[in-house]
Amino acid sequence: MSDRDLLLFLAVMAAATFLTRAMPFIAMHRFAEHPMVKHVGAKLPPMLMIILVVYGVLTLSQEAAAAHMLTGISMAVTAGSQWLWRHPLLSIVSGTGVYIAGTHWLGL
Amino acid sequence: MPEPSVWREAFRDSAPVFFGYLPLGMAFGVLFSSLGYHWLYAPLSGLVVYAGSAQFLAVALLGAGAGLAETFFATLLLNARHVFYGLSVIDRYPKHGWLRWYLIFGLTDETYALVTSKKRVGRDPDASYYGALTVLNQSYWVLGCGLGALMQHWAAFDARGFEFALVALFLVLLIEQLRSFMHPRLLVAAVVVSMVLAALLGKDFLLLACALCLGVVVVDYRRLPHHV
Repeated sequence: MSDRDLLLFLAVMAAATFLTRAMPFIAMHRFAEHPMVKHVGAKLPPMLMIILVVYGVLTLSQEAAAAHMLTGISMAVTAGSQWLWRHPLLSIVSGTGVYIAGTHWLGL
Repeated sequence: MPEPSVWREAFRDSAPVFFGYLPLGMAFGVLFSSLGYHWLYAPLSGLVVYAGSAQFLAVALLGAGAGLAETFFATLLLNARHVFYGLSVIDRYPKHGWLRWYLIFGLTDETYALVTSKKRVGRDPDASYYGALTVLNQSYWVLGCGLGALMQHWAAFDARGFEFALVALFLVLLIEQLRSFMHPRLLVAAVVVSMVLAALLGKDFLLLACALCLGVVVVDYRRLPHHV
């Protein structure tokens, strides 16, 4: 892909991203006070976050059983750290650090 | 321009995002650079696209040589959850002007979390506060993207394992949301939906899972006793 194609690719991605963020402001503002919209806004985010965690795990794309084990351990470190200390830096860096170290150590 | 005191307040409130965005942006920069483009395209992505998960998707799509239409729809689907963010900040954000559109452009998961957790005692925080917050968050992200790409550019950095930062970020956000979310049935439904669909469809499960969860929430609303 040439640099020009890459710029076009980024422009398309930027447009799609902006569209999803602007859509409710443009189309839905008249319904913002509707109780069902408020219900969805309050209940849906944690459910979507569960989906995104699963999606993230799938994108790790590893096959070996040891890699699945490493993913589980790294997730437990991240989640445990965040639950106990509420420090995003600590949680993300420690979990990712365990994963990177394990990846190299196991030769994945 | 926001007053210095407004910048200080936004800087203090956005510190957790700094610590989340820097390693995640660097992970993106490192992965992006492995595609072989000039390193400056990594911070440019952060500047014009400014969406963590979409940019990681971009690395996969570019690697696979995806077409523009495919890119457009994949990004729409991946970012579809943002539709629900906008709904709950419409009354906080200014109604007109360029700042309104910049705030909408910069409404990431993390900015949304900070904006909606800002206490509304007395009057709302000034629009300039939201502006400062959004500018700071985006600057952390662009900085991370650039640093990661430079690291890769200089040292042929071994990027294996960095992609876990995305999983870690979503986990951290999930745990923060769970602290105040007392609806175990909805959570079980989300876990079951995503596990079953992921087992059946692999990575393509994303949109269908989002749609099913929305359906579950709508059914849940209609079952409420006050619903008429």
